[in-house]
Amino acid sequence: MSPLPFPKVRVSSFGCVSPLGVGRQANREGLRAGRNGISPVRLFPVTGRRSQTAGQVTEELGALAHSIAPRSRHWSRGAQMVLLAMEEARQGRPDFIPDCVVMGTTSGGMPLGEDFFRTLAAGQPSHAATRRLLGYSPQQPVQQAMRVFHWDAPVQIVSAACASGTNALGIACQLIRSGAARRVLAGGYDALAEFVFAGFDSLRASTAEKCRPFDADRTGLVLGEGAAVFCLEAGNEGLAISGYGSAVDTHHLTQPHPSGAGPLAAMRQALASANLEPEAIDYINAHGTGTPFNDASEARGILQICPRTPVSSTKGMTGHSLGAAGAIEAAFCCEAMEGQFLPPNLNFTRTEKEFPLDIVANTARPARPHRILSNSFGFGGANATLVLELPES
Amino acid sequence: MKASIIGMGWVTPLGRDLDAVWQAIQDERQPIPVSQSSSFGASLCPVLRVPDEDLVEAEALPRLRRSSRISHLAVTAASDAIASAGLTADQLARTALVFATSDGGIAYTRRFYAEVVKSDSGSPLLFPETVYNAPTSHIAARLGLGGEAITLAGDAASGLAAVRLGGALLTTGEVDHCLIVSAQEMDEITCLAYRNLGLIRAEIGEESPSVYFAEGAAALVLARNGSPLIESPHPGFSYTSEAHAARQMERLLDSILASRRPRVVISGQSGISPDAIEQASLHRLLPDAVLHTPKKTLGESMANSALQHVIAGALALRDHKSGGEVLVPAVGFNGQIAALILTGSVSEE
Repeated sequence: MSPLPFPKVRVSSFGCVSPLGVGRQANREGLRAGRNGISPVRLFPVTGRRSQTAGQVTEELGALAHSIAPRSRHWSRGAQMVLLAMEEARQGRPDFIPDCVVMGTTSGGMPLGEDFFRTLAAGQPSHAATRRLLGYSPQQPVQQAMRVFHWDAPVQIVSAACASGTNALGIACQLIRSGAARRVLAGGYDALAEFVFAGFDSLRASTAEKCRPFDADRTGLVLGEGAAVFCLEAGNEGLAISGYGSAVDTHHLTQPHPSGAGPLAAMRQALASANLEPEAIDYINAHGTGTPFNDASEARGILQICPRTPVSSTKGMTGHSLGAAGAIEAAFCCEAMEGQFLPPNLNFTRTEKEFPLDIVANTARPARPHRILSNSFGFGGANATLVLELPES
Repeated sequence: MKASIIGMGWVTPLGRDLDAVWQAIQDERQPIPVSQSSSFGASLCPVLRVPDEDLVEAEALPRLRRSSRISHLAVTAASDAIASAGLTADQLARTALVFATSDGGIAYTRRFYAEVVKSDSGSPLLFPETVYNAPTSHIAARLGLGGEAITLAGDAASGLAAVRLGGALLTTGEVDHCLIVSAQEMDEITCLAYRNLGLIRAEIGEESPSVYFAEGAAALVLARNGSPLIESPHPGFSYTSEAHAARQMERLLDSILASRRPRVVISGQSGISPDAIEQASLHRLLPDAVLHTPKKTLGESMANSALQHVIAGALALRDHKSGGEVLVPAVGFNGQIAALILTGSVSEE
C-alpha cells in the first residue's frame, strides 16, 4: 500500500510562551528584533556547572496564569506555561473543541520528582510530596490546563526527547489524516529542571559561553523552556502543516550519525509527504543546538537536500527548550510567514568551511517565506521535520 | 481504527511463555512476591520481578550492556513478538514502532539525581538512559526497524493509545507493520510513590489494593490484514475526579456497547479506585460477561498492564473458538480512560 497523499492540516490558531515573551505578539517582535532571551539561571542553584545561563520565561507566570484561572497560581511552571499557550490558542479559535490532545515533553513534571526524591532522602514525611507527585506525570500539566476550558478529550504525551514537540504535531496530523480524529490540540512544553540541567552538564553538551548555532567556534547548547499549543483540523485554507517526516537513527543514543543521514531522511520524508521539491522551500528553521556534533550532522543533511536555502536556528535567542522546542519553533515559522521575515541566527561570527550554509546571521532578514522546513532532533536518534505553508494568495 | 495482531510476546513475573502465563491468569494463580529494598530507610514493598534468566539474551547485546532494565525487558518482549510474526529484514525496514511507558528508565533517573544531590554531578553514562524514548531507540536498533519510532508516556490508558496510534500509522499507509511495545521496570522510588498513593499492596496479603507492583513488558505486531482484529471505536476521555471517571467510563462503554456485545472482558480489578470504577460500570452494563483479571497474577505495571491485557484478550479469543468479541478497558490512575475491542480468532500459523 502506498502512503496516502498528505492532505494539509490547517493551523486554525496557536499560542506561544518562550523566553522571548508570553504570547504571539511578544514572540514575533522578539524574533524580528533578534532579542536575546538568555539570562542567568534563577530557578535553582547552578554553582559549579559549566553553564550558568538559560532561556527563561521571565514574566511572572503565576500572576498571568491566575488571570485566566485563579487556582493555577500554585501550579507548576510547566502547567502555567501550557495554560497560557492553550488560552491564546483558544482565543484565536473560540469554538474549537478538541477530540484528541497530543503534546510533546521531555521532562514533564521533573521538578516534582526532584522534590519527592529530596523529601525521601531527607527522611521527612512524604505524604505531601506524594500528593504533589501526581503532577510528575507528563499528562498532568496538560490535563490541568484543559480542565479550565472543560475539555475532556484524551491526552497523548509524546516523549521523543528533543524531537517531541515536532513529533507531537506530526502525530496530530497523522491522526487527522487517518480519520482517527477531526480536531486535535497539539504542541509541546518543558520547564527548566535541575535534573535536566545537570544532565546536559554531565555530558559536557552545555556551554559556558553563548549558544552559537552553526558557528565555526560553537561550543555547546544553552537550555531553555516554554510551551506552544496549536489548534489543528482538516482544511486547506491559510496556515497549514503540509508535510511531516520522522526517522530513527540508531547510530548512538546521544550522538547523531555524522553523515547527517537521520536529518536527511526526516527532511526527505517531509518533502515527499508535502509533494514538494527541495527548491520550493524558502527557509529552514534548523534544530541547531550549537553543539559541535548536532550542528555538523544537521548541516551535512541540509547541504545534501537544500544547499542554497536560507537557514537559521532560533536557539541562540531562546535556548533549547527540549520537548517544547519543535512546537515553539513551528510557531516561529508561522510568525515568519505571516510577518514576512526570516528569524535571525544569533551569535554567528564565522562560517565553518565544510558547511557553507546561507545562515541568516544575527539580524532578521526581510522575506516572503511561504514554505518552511522545521527540524527537530533528539536523543535516541529521534529525527523529525515539519513542512509549514502559508499559501501565496 | 482497525488493525490485526500477527505477533505477540510478553515478559512477566511468571515467564515469557504465552500459553503458560495465560493459563496461570485463568487459574488466578497467586504470585510470589519478593521484597523491594529501599535506600531511603522506608519500609519495604512486596513486588513481582521478572526472572533474570528471561532477560539473558538482551543483557548479552553490546548496545544494551549499560542500558537500564526497562530496555532489557522491552527488547526481549519485542524480539519475541517479531519472531512470532515471522517478519523478514525487508519487512522490518517498513515497520514502525510505538513504545508506551508510565515511568521510563526510572531507576537510572533516581540514581542520576541521587548523584547530583550528593556530589553535584551525575554520571554521563546514566543520563542518556533516563529519557523516555531510550528503550525505543534500543528496540529499533536491535530489530533493524526502519519506520517511525514513537514513545508515549502516561498512565495505563497510554498502553491502549499506543495501539490506536499504531493503527493510524497503518491506515495512512506509511508502513506495512507496526510494533507496539510497553514495559515497566522496578525501582524503590516508584514502589514508594505508588504505595503512598494506595495503588499497590504495601504488605503481603493486603486485601485492598489486591495487587503487587510488578515489572514486565509486552509487545504486539500489528498488520492491516489478519486475525484477530483489534478495533478502537472511541478515542477515550480525560477525567478529573473519581466521580467524573465513573461518568466517563459509562459514556465510553455506552458508546462502544451501542454496536457491540462482548462476552469476555479483560479487567483491571485490583481494588484501587480506577479499577473499582471500571468494575462498577462493567457490572451494570455487561453483567453476564466472563471476566479475566490478569493483574491478580501478573501484578500492576501501569501502561504495561494495559498491553498485557490486550494480549490476554487475544488469547481469550483464541480459546473461544466460536469467535465473539473481547473488551479491554483501561482506567489510568492519572486521568485517562480508554478501551479496545478484539474480534475474530487468532490465526494458527
